[in-house]
Amino acid sequence: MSQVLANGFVAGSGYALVGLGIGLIWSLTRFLNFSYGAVYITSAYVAYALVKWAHLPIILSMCIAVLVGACLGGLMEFAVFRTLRRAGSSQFIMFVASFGLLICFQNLVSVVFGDRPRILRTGNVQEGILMLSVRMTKPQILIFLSSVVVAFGMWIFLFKTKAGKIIRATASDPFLARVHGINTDREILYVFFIGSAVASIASVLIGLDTDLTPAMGLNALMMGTAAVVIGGMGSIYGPMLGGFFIGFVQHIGVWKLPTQWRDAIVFAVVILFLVFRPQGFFGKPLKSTDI
Amino acid sequence: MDYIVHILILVAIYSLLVVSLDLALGHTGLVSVAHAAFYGLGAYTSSLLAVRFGVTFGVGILAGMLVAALASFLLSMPSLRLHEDYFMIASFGFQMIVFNIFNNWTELTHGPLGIPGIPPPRILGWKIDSPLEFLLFACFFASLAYFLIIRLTKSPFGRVLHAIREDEIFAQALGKNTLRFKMIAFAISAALAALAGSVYAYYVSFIDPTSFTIMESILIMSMVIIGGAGGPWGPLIGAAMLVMLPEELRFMGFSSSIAANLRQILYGSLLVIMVIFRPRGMAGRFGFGR
Repeated sequence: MSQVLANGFVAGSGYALVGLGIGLIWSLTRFLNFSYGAVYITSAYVAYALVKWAHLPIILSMCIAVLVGACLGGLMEFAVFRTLRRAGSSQFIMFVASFGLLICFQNLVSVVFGDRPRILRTGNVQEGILMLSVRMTKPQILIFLSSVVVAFGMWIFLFKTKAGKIIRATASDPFLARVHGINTDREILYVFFIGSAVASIASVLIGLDTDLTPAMGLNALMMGTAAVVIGGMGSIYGPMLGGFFIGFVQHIGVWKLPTQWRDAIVFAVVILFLVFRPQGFFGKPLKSTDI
Repeated sequence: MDYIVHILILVAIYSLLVVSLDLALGHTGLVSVAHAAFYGLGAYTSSLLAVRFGVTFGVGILAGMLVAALASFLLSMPSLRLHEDYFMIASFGFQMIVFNIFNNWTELTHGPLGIPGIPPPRILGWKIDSPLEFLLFACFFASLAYFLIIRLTKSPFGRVLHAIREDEIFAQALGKNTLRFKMIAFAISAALAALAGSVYAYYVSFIDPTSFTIMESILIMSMVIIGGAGGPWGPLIGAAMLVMLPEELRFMGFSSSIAANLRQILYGSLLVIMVIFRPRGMAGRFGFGR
């Protein structure tokens, strides 16, 4: 039982990490951004290529991959979403464009690297460390620690600095922010950089723990989105708590049901949340009719 | 020749899917990514009935449509009350759950192995099994759905749907029960998707869950967007373009797995380019700008 909880905890911290980036970008752009998944896959495979093909040390490759991911996210915003926003496109069109980007990158990766699972870690699988009667591997502990560090860093940045205040202002009312002389396009670009960097951190760390496949982007995106919906948008602890919640629900559910129902369990919970508490644990509700 | 007929049958099935999604997405403004789920519900219902109980295709098709319409209420009743972003996420979850049922409920659906040996449909002793007969069969249902949608959207019912699309509060102010209109439109859209699923199942005589993934939903949505929403020609153009264009890749000498990837890359980039340069699609009446 305690091992089940520990596994849920580890999975949950991964989802929380992914959800933090999704929630940040979502709060500014207000559409479900699938291109986040494209960044997620690309950075994991960049790290893989650097380690296995260029024989760089793993830590350095991971740092470069995070940088590449952040730049890719920024580039997508600059080239695609900014153009669409200026043309007055609706959120739905943005969502469609982001899905187009995800499809492109997922298949590009699949052409270059093939569909079979790739392993990022070097050397053999190490036995997990025994702590409080549960086993956790080093990457798993790293995922948990970095989710806490990233959440704390984002909290400091968003709530304790002026740059963060400007971003929050843009999120809460873009029009009013522009009236006050804030360059909202620039703020959205920054947010894409930060959010994509978080996505890349998540993907290289989770890639260390499991295998890389081209489908991992869509999967991470689904779980991260579920974390944001359950936790609620517009806060740091929302996606965090949502991530841990679905991690636990998933692993406790799988303990009783066959493993293949993992994803279905999560989405059943998401739909229940949408029906009974659409704003999530901590979010503010979107009104069904915005005038 | 058979190859061309095969492509035309696919175009007919996809245009049926596209007009049905267009009713929800283009005419009513409901963004749902669960269309492949309803498509699959139709395919699975009619083929399970045909394989297990030997039910004739007419009954199978109607049963599939009924199942999809009922399932659509399950999704729309709670979530259409909410903000439209939430409806989209709920439809996303619905799609994933239905796919998981197809893929994991092995006692019923054989999971990833799929359902083989779906018998060809018979009408009064006439067995439809040659490609040309199937083309006729598929075109019959596609045009039936097509005219139904055109009649529907030109009727007072359709005008209410357009009003909801443009301004839901205004429609409410006119005393329309917009939730009910949206639910009915969504159910009709789901039922027609199920019809397409049954036609597809009878045509290929083997179905497995990979035909009903979220990617399929997005493909259908891309056809609506690229063809253009709300107009009479948009769905046909969208379906024809996205079915035929990638077929060219077959003749360019790529291995089949790479060709599949290239086809997806083509869809993806076409989608991005279209929404940037021509957000109304090739022949759309409504844009999605707001």
